[in-house]
Amino acid sequence: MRVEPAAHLLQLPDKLARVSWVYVLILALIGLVGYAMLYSAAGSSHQPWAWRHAVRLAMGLSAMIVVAMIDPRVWFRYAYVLYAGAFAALVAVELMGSYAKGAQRWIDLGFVQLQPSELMKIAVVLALARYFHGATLQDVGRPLYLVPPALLVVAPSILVLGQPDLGTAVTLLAVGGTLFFLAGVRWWKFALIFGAAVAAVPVIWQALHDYQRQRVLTFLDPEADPLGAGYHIIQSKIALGSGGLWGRGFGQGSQSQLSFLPEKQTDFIFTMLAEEHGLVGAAVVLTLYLAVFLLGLLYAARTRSQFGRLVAAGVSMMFFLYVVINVAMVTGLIPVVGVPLPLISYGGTAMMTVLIGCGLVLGIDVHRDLYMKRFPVDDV
Amino acid sequence: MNGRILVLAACFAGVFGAVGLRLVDLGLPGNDAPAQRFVAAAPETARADLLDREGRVLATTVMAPRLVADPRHVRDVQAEAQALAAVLEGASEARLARLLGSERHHVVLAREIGPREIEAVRRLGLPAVSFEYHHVRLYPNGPLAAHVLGYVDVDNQGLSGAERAFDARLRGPDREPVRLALDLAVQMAIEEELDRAIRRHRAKAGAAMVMDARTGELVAAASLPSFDPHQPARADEDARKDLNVTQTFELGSVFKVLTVAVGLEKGAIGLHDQLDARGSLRIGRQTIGDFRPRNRVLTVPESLIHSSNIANARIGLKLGGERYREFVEAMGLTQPLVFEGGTTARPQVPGRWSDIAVATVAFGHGLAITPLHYTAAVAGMLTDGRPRTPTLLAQDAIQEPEGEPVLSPRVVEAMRGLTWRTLHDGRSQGRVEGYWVGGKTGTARKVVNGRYQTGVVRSSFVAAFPIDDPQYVVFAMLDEPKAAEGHPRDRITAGWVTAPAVSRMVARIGPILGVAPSSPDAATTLAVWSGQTPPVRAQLEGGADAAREPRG
Repeated sequence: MRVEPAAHLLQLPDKLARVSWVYVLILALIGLVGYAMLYSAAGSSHQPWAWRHAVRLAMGLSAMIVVAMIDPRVWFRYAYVLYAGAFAALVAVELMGSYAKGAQRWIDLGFVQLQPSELMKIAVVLALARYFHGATLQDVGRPLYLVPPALLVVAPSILVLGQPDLGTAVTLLAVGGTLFFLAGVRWWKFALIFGAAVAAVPVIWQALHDYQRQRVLTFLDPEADPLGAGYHIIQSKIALGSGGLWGRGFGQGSQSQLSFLPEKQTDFIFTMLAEEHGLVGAAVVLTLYLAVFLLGLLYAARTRSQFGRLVAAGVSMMFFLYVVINVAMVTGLIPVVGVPLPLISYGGTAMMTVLIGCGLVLGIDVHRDLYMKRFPVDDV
Repeated sequence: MNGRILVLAACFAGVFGAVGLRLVDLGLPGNDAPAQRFVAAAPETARADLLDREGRVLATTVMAPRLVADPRHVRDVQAEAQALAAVLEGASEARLARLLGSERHHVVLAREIGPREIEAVRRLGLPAVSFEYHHVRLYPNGPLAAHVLGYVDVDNQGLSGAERAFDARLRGPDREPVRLALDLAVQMAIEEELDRAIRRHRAKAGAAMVMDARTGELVAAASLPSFDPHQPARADEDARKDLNVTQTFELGSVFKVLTVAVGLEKGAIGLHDQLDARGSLRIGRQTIGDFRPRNRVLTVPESLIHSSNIANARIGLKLGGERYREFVEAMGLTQPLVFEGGTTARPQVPGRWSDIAVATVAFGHGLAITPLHYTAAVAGMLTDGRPRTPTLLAQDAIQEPEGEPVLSPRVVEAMRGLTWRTLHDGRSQGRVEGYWVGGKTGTARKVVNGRYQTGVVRSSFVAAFPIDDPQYVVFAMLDEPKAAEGHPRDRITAGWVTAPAVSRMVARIGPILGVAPSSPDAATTLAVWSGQTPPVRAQLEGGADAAREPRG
């Protein structure tokens, strides 16, 4: 029998052997569903979406494995640096946006368009995980101790909200909240914050852009504006309804194929899936997603370090929110906020964010037996 | 601490369960989701005609053959697909092979097939293929009025426009043709002139409509770029959007006629009042300036003729937010318009009618409405003072007026005179030989990403004729026009862009609609209505000095 080396001495082959390939396989499966749906969305053609999606998927999965090989202590050491970089980029976009007469959400690096708000999702997880890694329960019990991490979450959320990108802002807040929760912040504090948030609703309402208010109002009564802003949701619901139990068949969805469904290759791709493959197809895909989240939490539970535990759970929460917000949006449970369905929607940035995040989760699991001191920076 | 992870896992599962239940709720038949008619089996595909107001066919249904096959009788998939691909125009052999090799008992190989192709397919003598006659919706005028007519899906069910609005009637047991208010000849003239203006000014898009001022009938309505209603799916989404109803715009200065009307109605101003348009107007931190500053005191008619933002903002301030809000509500400009054709986009209304809000709305910003909203309001303003309800159906009688008029006859007459003077004394090129026309220009700077742009505008023009007793209101709007070839770059204002286009439209459609040329005498009446006291005749005959603006 082969004896495993001590956790901090793992070599590349050992690490590869410890990769949880089930996790990789499920992610690849979801990505392939995306490939098939994009093929159908283009009227049974690899162009313009499906082929590029497949290439990105292959690249993203490779990047994920590479990320998983990196020692978590490296992430720990650079957590704040990464956060500062993401924050600076976010501010830069905000400034450039106003000079360039428009809200730009991304920075063009030539070969890739970097969306700082996506980067921020991961950076927040890493930064908070590092902050709480060394915390004792006594620490967490002190309200003042919670102020810096709260700022770490709230500041970028406000910036993102100003872009304006409601979906990402909500995701940041929820991911932050999850980490607070896992760090052991008491229940009643969450209740307090929640109460305050409800009380803040009228204030937020005032601050919203007219078009954002319109989205909320339209959501509450989409039929009142069927030709205007309610169009997306109504078409989406018609498509979902016409799918039935088994769907209309691959490439046969009349709503999607006839282009009545807007944004069918991006935010509304789940609708198309449900129309062509019915409830059964939708349930299969949702089950795959659920498996990813629960595996992520399993890894969180079995890792030795608090840092790893928080990173794995935080990233899983981020992934979860992508899916839930998107599906709830296309089924009319919440307003249209423009969040893609990870690994299925067309678009490179979200896929990269998700796969790199999953790489972190996977890396945490590969290095699960690693012992990390309260201040282990010197170890690396 | 793994207890908390378990809590999180339970939350994940719970939320997913809730979303799953929602899917079941929407996806399974037997609930009130709006999808039921889309899953009905074998729908009725016969459809009655859509006719224009003169009985000309706008949409009809014909029996046409399509090529079908029963894959069970295919002997050699590849060979038969190859043979068919050789005789069918634009067919892909791979697709035919996939269909012929499928497990189904009935596949459609080609939805449309011409006589020559039928002959060629018959010669192949393939036992699996046959022809089926089915109902095909045909639009003899192609893309003309595509947005009004709408289109149908493969099962001939109305999906948009009149096809959707009157779907039940068209497919009903009687299958009675539906006669629309549309006039084919007028529609043709409008679309041609709109298209000419779009090309002349290299605009991104344009919209125009003609409304019968007394009945609310839409005699013509165009939105360009258009699409082929036979193949709606091939058009891009923007082309399928009807700019007249699906989008709201800040219309800019065309709105000023409504400001003056309500000002007169509520007694906030009189026709001969003077409005200070010197310098600029500061309200709080905002400054309102004029596009072409006069820097003097203007009379009410001059505030329209020179399209002064400052003067109109002052009228708005005199009225106050509350009275202005009441007026736009009464004119139906704050709610989506509901008519047989559906429901328009919802107007965007200021959340609070503060001073700055009412001052801005007074010159046409801060309140976004659809062109249909605006046209219906102007039609009312120039006839009986009540907003029109637009209709797609030909009406045999004038609408019975309902409720109290929003504007009294005195104001209606004044507005006829004022719009006439605005057009005839102003700089725009909207005059029409033979008709007295009333009109107003509007050039609104576009908002891109929350900021008003310079040099990127939406130019609109509204005209009504004959203005001494208005029968038709014409509205046109061009999105991002550029100056015509060989003109200075700043000639993108409505006076240069949409006013000439509308002038050409009126000149063409007036005779088609049987409007008699206006008599010269009507000008006297109009001048009196607009507050210009005689000797008006002298001015009309060339003695301009004789008729200076009355002061005080």
